[in-house]
Amino acid sequence: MSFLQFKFWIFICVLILLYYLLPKKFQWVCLLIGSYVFYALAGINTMGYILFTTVTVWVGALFISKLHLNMKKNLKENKDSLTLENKKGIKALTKKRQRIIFLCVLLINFGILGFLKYFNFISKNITDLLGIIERHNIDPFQLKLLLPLGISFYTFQSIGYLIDVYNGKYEAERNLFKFALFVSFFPQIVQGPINRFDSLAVQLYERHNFDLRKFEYGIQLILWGLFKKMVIADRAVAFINETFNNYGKYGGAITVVSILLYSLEQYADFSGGIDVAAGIAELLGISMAINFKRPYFSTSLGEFWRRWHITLGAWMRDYIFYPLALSKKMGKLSKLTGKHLGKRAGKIIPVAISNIVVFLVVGIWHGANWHYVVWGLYNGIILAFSSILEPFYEWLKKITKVNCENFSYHVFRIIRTFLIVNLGWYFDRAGRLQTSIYLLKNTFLNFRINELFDGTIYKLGLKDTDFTILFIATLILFLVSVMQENGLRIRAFLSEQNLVFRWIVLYIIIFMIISFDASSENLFGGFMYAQF
Amino acid sequence: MHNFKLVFFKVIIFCLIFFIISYGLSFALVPKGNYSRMILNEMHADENNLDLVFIGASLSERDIDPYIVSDKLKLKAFDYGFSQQSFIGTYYALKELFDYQKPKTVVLTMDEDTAQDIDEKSLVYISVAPYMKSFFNKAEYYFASSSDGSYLDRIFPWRGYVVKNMLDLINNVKGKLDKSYEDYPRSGDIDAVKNNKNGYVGNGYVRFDPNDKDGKLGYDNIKLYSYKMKVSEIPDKNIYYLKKMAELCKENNSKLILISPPMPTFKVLRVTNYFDFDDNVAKAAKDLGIEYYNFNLIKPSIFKSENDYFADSDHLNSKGAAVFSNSLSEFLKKDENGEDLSKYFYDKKDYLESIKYISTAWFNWNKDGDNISFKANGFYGSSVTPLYQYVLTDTDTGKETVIRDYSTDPNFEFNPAGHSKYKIRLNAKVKGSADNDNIRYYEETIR
Repeated sequence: MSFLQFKFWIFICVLILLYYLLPKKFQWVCLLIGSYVFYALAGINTMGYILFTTVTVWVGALFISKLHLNMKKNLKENKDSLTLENKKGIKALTKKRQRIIFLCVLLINFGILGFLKYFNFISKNITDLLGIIERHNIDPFQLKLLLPLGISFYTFQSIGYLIDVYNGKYEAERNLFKFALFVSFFPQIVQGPINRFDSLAVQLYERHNFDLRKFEYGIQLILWGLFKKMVIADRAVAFINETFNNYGKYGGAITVVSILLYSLEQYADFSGGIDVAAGIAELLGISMAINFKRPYFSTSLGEFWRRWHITLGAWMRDYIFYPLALSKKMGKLSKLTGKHLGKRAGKIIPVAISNIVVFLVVGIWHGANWHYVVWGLYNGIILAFSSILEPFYEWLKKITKVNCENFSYHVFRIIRTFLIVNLGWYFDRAGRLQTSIYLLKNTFLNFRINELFDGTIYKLGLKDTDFTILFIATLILFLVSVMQENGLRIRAFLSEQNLVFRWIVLYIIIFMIISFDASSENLFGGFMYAQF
Repeated sequence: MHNFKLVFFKVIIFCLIFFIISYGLSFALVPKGNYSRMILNEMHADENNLDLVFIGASLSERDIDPYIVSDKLKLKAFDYGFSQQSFIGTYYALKELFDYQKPKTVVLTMDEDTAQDIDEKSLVYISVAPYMKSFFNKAEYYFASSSDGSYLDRIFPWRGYVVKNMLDLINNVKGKLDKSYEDYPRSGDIDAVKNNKNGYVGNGYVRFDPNDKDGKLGYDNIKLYSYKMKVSEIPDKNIYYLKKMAELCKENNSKLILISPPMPTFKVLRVTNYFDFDDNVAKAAKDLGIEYYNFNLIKPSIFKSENDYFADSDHLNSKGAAVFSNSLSEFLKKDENGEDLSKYFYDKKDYLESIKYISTAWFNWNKDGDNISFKANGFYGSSVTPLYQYVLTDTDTGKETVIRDYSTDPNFEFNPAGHSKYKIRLNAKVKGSADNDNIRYYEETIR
């Protein structure tokens, strides 16, 4: 079941009615049952996986917490009789036991995710390698594996919770059902955001009175999300699919247009879906983490990844980047490079390596294909080198006397970042690494600009009316983004206007969604990130 | 604390304005109702009870002349078919019918295409549902026929079904405001059209004049149907709705009969498992207590199909419909009298033997080095031996040359050396027939 299906909105209406009509102490129970009904309707065959993750992480976290509490109790009760050595020993033993539980739960759950997502990919690559060595084709051993809905998102979210408990950030949740709600909360399950336990759980379990302002905001956010998804993303996807599925037919100019549309489509689809999810949560009085902050206004690649899929970036930062960059091994490396290459190098190299590792993981997370790996490495390497080359950039700015504070330089940085990101999309969107390379070569060596003017562009899934609609819708998106970038809070601004103005805006959005919805023609299984 | 009464009031007003805008867009943009509207309006307005109703898709709309049937059987017959309607739509249309009329007999027309069709297209729904009077019927029809991607199309028809330009928009609005449109059918409206040679003539019947360019099927150069195919069993969904129709008829003391009207012979012969499919339909009908008659297998004593009876590959023209309607009326009389009607139908062997002509012919070709290999094929009866002739036409000079005279061998290898641009025509005739007697041809430009 997806946000684009009629039965989903029937489900939401019924759920919201029950949520606010039931006694408030049962609201979280209502959400839990609703979430599992949603999950069951989406695919009951794979429900076992989310249940398994929920139970194992809950049990693991509980044991870790219990060990910590027992240690504290022991130390407190025997604080006079224990020596410093004893205390250190107790702490070390507790930590060791916690680590064992932590690693077991972590490996089992990431193991399941890895197996389901990457088994066939690894098997095929090993078989190909063997085939090269033995000089004949070998059929790869492949399994028909069904990927459970939202497995990446709920696994990351659960493991994030486990890591926080392990690090002593907060105590484990004792109620299995409440924890199950945190894992399975249905608006977030399809494609995130990846919420943190300490910010979401409180809201999930507390009692909510009906808040009209929040409800209105929720509806507005849902409409905005549907506008982006149904009018922009689902319209652009026809062109993108045609050009990427038949890339040999077209020149570089068409590819560039396709990549630019992909830039737009990916953002509209993903952020649109997140807006719908967040809007639904707001209808229930719950605020989820922000996941997008107008990423195409970024002035550097680093900033882009702090504005795009923010919760995944934050997860990677907190649970991979920092632990890696601040690890003992990195510390030793830092000392070594500092000694031989200078103090600055000693600081930058561990950060650069950590960035590359993080983006390698992000690339792999995107999918079981080499082009995703290359895409991840591309971003990681650029980030790594941007900090390494910073002195060079400063020197360049100095000798060219560039004014870095003015508007034109700001625009230059945005465009530069946009181009870097779009170059990366060649590796993200193409179905294979060879296709990405072919498309890049095509772009630079076989541009065929005439294809933009000889009518070819209207034979790729979009008519001239579609381009007009896309242009107008993108313009609206751009204007709204500019206003938000300048600090205007759109929904608050709207709520301050007179009723007639507010209603005109709402009617325009609603009728644009209904009139220009392209999702019925291009219903490619819902939201693109739901496959992760 | 919220003033819920005020909030509730605002929500109602917001929704009301929304529906007014949507209605306005529908009124202005959605084209004026076509035949479906007229058919439903006539059905609602007919105060003399309809005795015999033909339901289904366009087969009912075009293949049966209700005026002839009414005259022959001395009752009131009515075509109640809606183009491209699936069994779902037919069921809900029938439900609507029974709210206003009590026909003694309901005849459902189908062929192998309509039997397989389980999706009710949005356009079909939009053409019919707005003119149904029963709200609950409409709502049920909406939920039963909609699927993901089509819910919005049906509630907001102006999303995709709109006039083409501003002039059409103005004419559309003017037309909808016209009294004759609003009040259709007024007294005399049907009589004014019933003798028209072409188009809608009242009582649900759409006439196609065989002398019109769209009124006569050509049997030559039909590449579209030049392949054999298999059809699957009737989908469960359609069996379900057939059952519901049978139950509905029973509740309303009406007899339901299922028929397959005549089609061009090649449409029967191209389906390799046609008779299995037909048996399937017969069994399903029998299980549901419905009489079933396939007029493609009817013997000439009741109805003899001729090539010039067809407007296209699916429908009869007015000439064919007239003859068929006469035959059908006689047939229904016999049915009413309790006569055993099975004797009027061929079995598979006899049917195939009865086809003593070639319905269509074509060839396939492929390049084989310097040569081109042709293979002729056709749809013909089991007692027919076809003869094939290949003729080359130089497209520059127009000169025709027989490159292979009539032979039973469908295969022919040809070296096109010396010819750059040319057409190959295949002539096919029955062995033993006179020279120019019923020759079918197929022509293709070879590059």
